[in-house]
Formats: sequence, C-alpha cells, structure tokens
Amino acid sequence: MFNRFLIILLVAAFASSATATTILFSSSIGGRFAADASLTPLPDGDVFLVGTFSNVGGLTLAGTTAAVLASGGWTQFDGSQVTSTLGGNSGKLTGQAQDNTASAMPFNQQPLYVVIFNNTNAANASQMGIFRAPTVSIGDAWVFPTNAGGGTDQISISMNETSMAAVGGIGSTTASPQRFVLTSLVPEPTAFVLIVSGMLGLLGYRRFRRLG
Amino acid sequence: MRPPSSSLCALASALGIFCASSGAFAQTAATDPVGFITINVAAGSAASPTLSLISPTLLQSVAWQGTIASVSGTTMTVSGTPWTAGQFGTTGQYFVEVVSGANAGAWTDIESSTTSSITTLDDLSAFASANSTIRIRKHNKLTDFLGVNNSAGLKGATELALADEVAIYDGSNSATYWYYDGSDGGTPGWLDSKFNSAANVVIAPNEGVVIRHKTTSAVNFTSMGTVKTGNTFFPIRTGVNVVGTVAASGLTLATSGLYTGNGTTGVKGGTEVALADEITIFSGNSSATYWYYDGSDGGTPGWLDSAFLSANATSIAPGSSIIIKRKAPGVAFNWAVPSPATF
Repeated sequence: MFNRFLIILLVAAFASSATATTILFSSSIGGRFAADASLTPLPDGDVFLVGTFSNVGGLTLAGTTAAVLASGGWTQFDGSQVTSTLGGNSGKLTGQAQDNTASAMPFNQQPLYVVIFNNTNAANASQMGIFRAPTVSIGDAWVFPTNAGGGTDQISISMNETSMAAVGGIGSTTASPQRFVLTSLVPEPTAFVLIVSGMLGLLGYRRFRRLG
Repeated sequence: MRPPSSSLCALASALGIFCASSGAFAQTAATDPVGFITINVAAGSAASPTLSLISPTLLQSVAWQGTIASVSGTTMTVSGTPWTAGQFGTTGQYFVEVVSGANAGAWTDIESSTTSSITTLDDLSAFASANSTIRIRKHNKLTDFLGVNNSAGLKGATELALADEVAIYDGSNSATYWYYDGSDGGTPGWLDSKFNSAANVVIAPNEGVVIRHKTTSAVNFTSMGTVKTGNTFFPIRTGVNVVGTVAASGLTLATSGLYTGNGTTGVKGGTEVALADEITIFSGNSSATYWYYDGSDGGTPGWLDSAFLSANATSIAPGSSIIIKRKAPGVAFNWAVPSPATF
C-alpha cells in the first residue's frame, strides 16, 4: 500500500508513466480448474502467466518451459497463482495481473494467452499448458485493452468460456468437468539423442563385459 | 459513464462541538453534520460494461478528538491514558488527521495503539507538533459503502466476470472486488479476485472507486455518513491518479485548489493540453478532460476543456471520483482538498 500522504522530500521515488492496465482472472466455485497430466488439480501457489505470442504457429513442445515459450515469440505481461475457491475447490485461476508502467503499452489490443505451470516457479515446471478463449460469452474478449492512460483500462476474462482451447497442442481441455489439462515437457532432440546414445553405449558395454 | 450525479441531502444536524473533560487532559468530541449522498451507477450491459467513478465522500464519525502531547517519528502521544490498548483496531482500520495549524489536513493510517499513543503508517512529525489537534476516525469500508449484503444493488454472480466489478484505486494501483451471490453454495458476500473475503477492505478518503456495471438498468443507492470539515491532503503521484472526493458541498475546478500557481504544489498549467497536467471527469457515457491554461500566450488564465472553452465552473460532484494525470517530470504533491471548516 502506498503511504497515505506524501512526505514531499521523497516524492521523486514515485515517478511512473500514465498507464494502468489490469487483467482480472474470473473463476467460479463449480467451474473450470487446472489439472496436471494425471488430472489431479494443481495445488495453491502454482503459477500461471499472462502475455502474448508473436508467432503462435511456431510453438514447439521441446526443451525447457522457457524454450517452449520462446518458440512462439512469447512476451510476458504478468502472472498470478493458482488458488482454491470458497468451497475448497483447488486449481482455480484467480487474481489479477496489473502493469502501471510504460511496459504495458506494447500489449495494446494484442491477443491474450494464459500459460499454466505445475510448479510455483515456471522455470522448474515439468508440465505446462497454453490456453486461450477465441470467442467469449462471459466477460471480456481475450485481448489486452488499449491503454489510454485513464486509469480505467481493465478487463475481466472468464476461465469458464466454452470456447477455451489449448494452443499449439500444448495442453488440452476437458468439458465435464471443465479442466485445463497440462502436458509433460519433452526433452530437446539433441538432449534426447545424447540420452539414448548413452543408454545404448551402457548396454553395449555391459554386453561386451558379459561376453568377455 | 454516468456521473455520480450525487446530491448532498439532509444535513441532519448542524455542526456542533461539545466537550467532555476527562481527568487532566482536554478531550473534545466533535459532531460534524451527517447526511447522505445519492449515488447513481449508469446502466450498462454484459457485453459493454459502463464505468461509473464514485466515492463515499462522507466519512465515519469522529472517534476521538484532542490535542497531542508530542509527536516523534511515527509515534503520537497524548496526555493521560484516554484510550484502551488496541482501541483503534488493527493495521489501517482507523486514521488520524491533523486538524490544526498550517498543515491541517495531513492524515495517515493508524497501525497500532496503546492507552496513550498511536503508531502511524507515515511520519507526521513535519505536520504536527505538541498541542496540535488531531481527529481519529474509522475508515469507511467497502461494506459500509455498498452494504454487507450488497444493499447498493450491484450485480452479484457466481464469478467475477459475470458480476459488477468494484475497483478501488490508490493512485494508479487498484484492487477489484465483486459480490458472490451464493448460488454455487457457501455464504454470499463481497470477495476479492482470489475469492478472499472483502469484508474488511477499506476505502480511504483519497481512494477512487470505479464500478463496471453490467446490467441494463441503472443503480441508485445512498451513501450515509459524516461530512468532512476542513482541508484534506490527497497524495497525487506522477502518473495516473484515480481519486475520490471528501468535499460534501461539491467543488468546481476553480475552487478545487488543484491549481496553485506552483507546479510543485499543484497541477502544472501550460499553453496547451499536451503540456499541462490533465483532469478527467466522467459524465454519462463519456468523459471530458480539462487543463489549466497559464495565460502565457495571452488572454485570461483558467481551466479550459480541450476546445479552449472555459471550465472554471465545471463541477467535481460529491460522491464522484476524478482522474488526475500528473505528467512527468512533474513531481508528486499533496492536493489540499478544500472543505469549509463549518457548515
């Protein structure tokens, strides 16, 4: 919380630009929740990010979470954490993402994506999913608002949209119950080749020693 | 966006001050006028929510008024032991205001209290001294303003995106609340965006409230409370500021005190809107932006709209919020929101 009034000598510390973009994540007690690949609801604290892709067609499920995001030209806006709702239903995407700096401006009118991870730290996740609702019947469109600097550039996006879909084959959705389902990461091809080569070599060595 | 076309009504009691001596210290309880304001939230729709910028304007009654024996850092001490320990709640439920001297109107939250001292969020030692008069009040809460059970009549729902959104702004930072209608089970009530109870959320005097209304009928409700007398300092920071008003008698741009002639103590004027700080006031479904012409290109200085028409008489209505865009490199300042000392 800001101080309630200003000690004039300290005011220079509050410099900011005239921007204020806010994205609200709307879930309901009985609505869609996030689950890992085994369909277990994600625990409180696992992170999800909101941002946009410049090359969504290039998304490739290979390597680390950072590599996957980079393959689609990811630019991150902000993030929040998975929580439980009133009834104790876990795996809900709630909270808000907000940027009151000039960094919010490039997001104006860009398509909005949500990326969910099965970890409190996206870099350490072993599963992820990328989702977007291309059409909406509840709340606002999944497009970043134009930041007019008016302090009122806020949208609320519902996690319960029936059009919700995984993007780039990274994750999936189920309809009953409504779920975001994460997908396990796949090692990069080069790493995979090294691992297989090593295993083959080890097997060969053991066979050679047994025969010898 | 609909103007919070609010009207101050029914000043039920005239300003009165009575004294209640207790022991060796002088304690006075102040009774300011009480009344209500009718606040209008404009009709909207789910597809195109309408914004209304509102504020409680009226405050809770004075819980304690008296003089302080000393102030040091964030500690204010009074003579004797007029309070019970913890009387002023937990962090940020009450606030203290300096009401005497040159810096009358400076206020801050009370973090904790003993029988004779309060610890404050901000250091008020530059704004008060021994024998300064202070007032302590409880903050308005969201539930005071809109009703524990949503007596205001905003749209409740099972999720935030379906409900009316209530964003409370502290400068440009906001937190959003909504009314859960209970139809998915559990207890209805005000929640934040993470499903936490908002029962104790405070709306500080300077904070603006932005409603995103999603039904096709307008909502009218009354905000009841005590009229704030005397100036009140509002922090205006560089950037966007969505601020409420405590001026129950209403202000115009000319009487607002926003322009002081000094760009470090008030909004910056200029020869064109792009060079000046901007004030945006909503009315109906539209907004208008105003700025202060400093007169340096000739003519009469004063508040103008974007078409160079005089806006000196443009109203900042009770129950409203406004947007102040303080442009860099302009520094932050305290806006001394004027209000009569007596009504």
